[in-house]
Amino acid sequence: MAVIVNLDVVLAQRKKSLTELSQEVGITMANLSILKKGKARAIRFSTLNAICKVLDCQPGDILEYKSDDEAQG
Amino acid sequence: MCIFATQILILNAMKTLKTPLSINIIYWLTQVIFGLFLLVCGAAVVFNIMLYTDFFGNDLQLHTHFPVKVNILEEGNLYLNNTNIKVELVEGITKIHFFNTPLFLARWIGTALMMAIFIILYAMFSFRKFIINVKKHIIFLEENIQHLKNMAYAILALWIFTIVYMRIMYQTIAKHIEFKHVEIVDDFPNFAGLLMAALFIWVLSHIFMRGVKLQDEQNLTV
Repeated sequence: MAVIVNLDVVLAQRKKSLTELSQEVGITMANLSILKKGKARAIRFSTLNAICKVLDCQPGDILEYKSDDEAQG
Repeated sequence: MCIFATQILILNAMKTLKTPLSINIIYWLTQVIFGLFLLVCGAAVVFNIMLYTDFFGNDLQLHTHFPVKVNILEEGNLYLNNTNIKVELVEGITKIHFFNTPLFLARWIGTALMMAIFIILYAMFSFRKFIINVKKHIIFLEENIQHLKNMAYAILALWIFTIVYMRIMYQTIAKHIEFKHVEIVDDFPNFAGLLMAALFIWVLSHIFMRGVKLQDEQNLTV
């Protein structure tokens, strides 16, 4: 998919683990793992809102658009 | 891809949802009927082995479905509102009983019977697996779609088999029988119910296909 999830990058910058994020945001580890691995089909605004609030970032920091060619290259 | 998420959803569903009474009733009925049907299948196999080993000899009396409808050429009287109305039985569906059934005919009927029973068993087997999944709240799965399709194909196969069997029976046997008070009508029962059931289940499998896609989307939405 052309939309890439950079959650791991933002987590590393904030020096937070996925478990901590899961506890603070109130989303299961399984769902966060799906999001982190880029396997999610959709993301709710409420989820995005909660993640941005906890990580103190913008949605654009977590989601990035790359064209298919760029993503493969 | 979504196996992990699906499993979590299933486990959550199993913990929180209660199986409706109707599903429980259908589940137990299916289990009982399937068990009884297995016995019938066993009996059919034993019966065929006996037929092919000439166990019965000449002392074999069989009865099977008469392939076409019959008219009873005898008038009856209906007394209604002080009036006598003449009536007769028409387009009756009946069975035929053979005295001293010829062995080749018995084998032919026995084999056809066994084939029909095995087709029904396969449909029941698929339905049983489907209902077990439904009872566990595992509904929108690829596996269930396959079970539904298998059921539809089995019922369709049974319909085709029955139609062909009835026509062969008519051409080889029924056409050549003469009765004094019965007229054989060249009108075959069409078993439309079987065909409709097969088509309905086939359509249902396509609805389930859409359900699986929606479930997948739901599971992968965070």
